Amino acid sequence: MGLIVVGISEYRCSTDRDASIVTYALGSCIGVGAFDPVAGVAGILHFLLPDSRQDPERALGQPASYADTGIPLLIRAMERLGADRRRIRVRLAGGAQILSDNAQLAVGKRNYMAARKALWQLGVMVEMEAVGGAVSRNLGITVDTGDFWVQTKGPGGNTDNGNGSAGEKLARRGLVTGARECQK
Amino acid sequence: MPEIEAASREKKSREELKAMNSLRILIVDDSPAMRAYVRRTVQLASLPVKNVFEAGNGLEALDIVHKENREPNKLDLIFADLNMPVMNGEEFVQKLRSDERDARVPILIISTDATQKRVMRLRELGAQGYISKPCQPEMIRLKVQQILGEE
Amino acid sequence: MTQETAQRDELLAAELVGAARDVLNVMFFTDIMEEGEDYNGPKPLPIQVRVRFSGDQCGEFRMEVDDLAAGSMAGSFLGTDPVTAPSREEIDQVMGELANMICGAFLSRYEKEGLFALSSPEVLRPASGELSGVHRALELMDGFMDLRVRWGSVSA
Repeated sequence: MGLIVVGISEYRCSTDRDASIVTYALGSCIGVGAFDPVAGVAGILHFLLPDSRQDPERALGQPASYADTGIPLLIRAMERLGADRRRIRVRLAGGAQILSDNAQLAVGKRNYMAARKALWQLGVMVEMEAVGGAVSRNLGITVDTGDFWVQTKGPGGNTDNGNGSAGEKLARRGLVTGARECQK
Repeated sequence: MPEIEAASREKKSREELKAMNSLRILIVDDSPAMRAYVRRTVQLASLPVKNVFEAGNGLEALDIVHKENREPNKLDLIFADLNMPVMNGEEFVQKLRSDERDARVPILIISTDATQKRVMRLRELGAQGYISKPCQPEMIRLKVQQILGEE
Repeated sequence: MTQETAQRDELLAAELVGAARDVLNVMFFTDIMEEGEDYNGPKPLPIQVRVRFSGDQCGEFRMEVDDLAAGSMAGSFLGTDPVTAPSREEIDQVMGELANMICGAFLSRYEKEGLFALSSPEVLRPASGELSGVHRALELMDGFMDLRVRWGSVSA
């Protein structure tokens, strides 16, 4: 089974039914997982910062670093493989407030708002999200089935299944719909 | 809760709705910006919408209901704000529910006015759901799916 | 002002900012960077929205905002393409809705059991008239905002 690993400031999409796409160590970064069940196209973006206007030069070379430039890139790349944005289901993971991140105050929250804004502008709804808290997350998707999974690692090195504080927030918003959250 | 039983008898399956592509929705809000927000959400939510009607207050909404809510041109869902001039949302719900013919159209309230008293009163009057603003579009979609019996 | 009223006003101002932050985060994708008695920007702010409320308590809410923040927030709310600027009419409509939501969210926090009716928002360009009462000046991600609430009957 092929494993496609998405690094920081990268995006990958695929129609290979034997493949899985995964991205690791989402702290304040956000992983945008997307799937079109009809076209069988899956994709993940791992962006770092909210706004490309902060550093236009870097944005030219690495547009996937930013929510406002990276998210349209991911959606358009999936559409080139046959996806339709009206069918695309999106899940967000990350956007945490990591304690060592003092210099970039609230960057996780800014990233989350920027992701929602970009998706609202594109006309893509978010199906589920595992965001916030002070945890590190991995996000993966199986291309064949479109099953997403999120692994959550707590601040003390403990693992949980994503039903911690971030999970409670999810439940309140009613966005948890059959996601497979698995133990590490 | 007789209203909910009545509404559930009227529920159509997801397949039926998809096949018919026939949802008729009414958005009642005095704010054009909020009507645009709800309209966009409904369009993005991949609901099988055929018509979206809009009204700026309860009285305008009753006119549309009386014109459109006749077989086979039936309304499937009404979004309503509470604070509106001429006729507010609460009075609109009350008037709508008092008319036998309109008693079954599901009503989803979207308002900033989320005090417990208000929510309880609207439930008694026969509103099916309440969303308090600010709200994400996904919350609107979720409530619509619940009310229309999807999932 | 007695110490007691000062403390009460301080708490109310915190609720006002909390309500505004909630609305701005969820539906306008922006945030409050700084809050205080005054902001370090142009005065007066060119767009003013008034909302009157009545019910268990009555009074008036005013929101003032600058053009840059208003344009950016209107575009965010409507989900328009980043390069297509919303029209002035759209901006005024969205600012009316923003004021309505902040006022409503604030009153719901302030009096969880209360019942209120809100007037339709009235958008004025340029802003006019002073309003004393609970006040906070905010610096947003791209612009400035000023929020005021006054209790008691308000002259038309």
